[in-house]
Amino acid sequence: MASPVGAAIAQNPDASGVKLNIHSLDSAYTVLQSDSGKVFMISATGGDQAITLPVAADLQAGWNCKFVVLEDTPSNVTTLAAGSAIIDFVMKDPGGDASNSTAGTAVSNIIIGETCTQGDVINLFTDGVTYYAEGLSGINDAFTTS
Amino acid sequence: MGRVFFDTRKNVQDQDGAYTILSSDSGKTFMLSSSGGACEITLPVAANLEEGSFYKFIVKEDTPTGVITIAAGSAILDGVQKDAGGDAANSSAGTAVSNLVIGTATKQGDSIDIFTDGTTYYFECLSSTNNSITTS
Repeated sequence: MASPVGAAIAQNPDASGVKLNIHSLDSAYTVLQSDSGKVFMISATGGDQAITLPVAADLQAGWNCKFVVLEDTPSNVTTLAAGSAIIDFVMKDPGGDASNSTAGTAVSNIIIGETCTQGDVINLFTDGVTYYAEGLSGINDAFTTS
Repeated sequence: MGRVFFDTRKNVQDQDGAYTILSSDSGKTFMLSSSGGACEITLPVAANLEEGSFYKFIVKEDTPTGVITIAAGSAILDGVQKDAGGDAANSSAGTAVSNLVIGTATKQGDSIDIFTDGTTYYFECLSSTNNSITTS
């Protein structure tokens, strides 16, 4: 029997064998409402690219996804673009500081730079008003914002 | 409109000692102890990876009795780690590893999330103690 796919882990304590929905990206992409729960594996072999998120007017509470760097030290920059300053972001990397966390001032973009390493990750969800993101990176300041 | 789930629960499994992860364990949260001494949690090996499988491991036994090794069988673990140190900790930083080693200095609540895209395991690791979770 095929395993159910999706972000929800279980509807009852006995559910098991669920899987994440993996989606590889290596070019520009506009994220869909139906992509909620997906894990996007990011490469950028063809040039700088934008991953366009649903804009503020289209946010649906609970929508979420994960971005994972697949291409080690990506060939180009990937920008996660929300269209306006609605991303609140906390991140940790090897630097012993707040890194590029937004610290109360929302941003429009999260930028996955070329120094990122395979496995660097950003978790993103929205409450319907704002995106909330958590980033972990093995390289100092490889994730930035704008 | 996507599906919204209410009243969901994590599938929690207490694990005190060695265990071999099954395909059907995807989605589980393993609560780790090692009261009997050092032990190994064996992940599906490279040839048996199933895209989308995911697991969470949480240290349940504060300062575990023995080292707990999460073993992938080959260098297919890529990921990031943050701990109490202000450095890269034991993130793989582009060089995949075979094992995540949960040391005896780890604290209850330290955690590791792992999933696979079918080729590689990806981990996110948070620890409140510097260098208590290592790799090999």
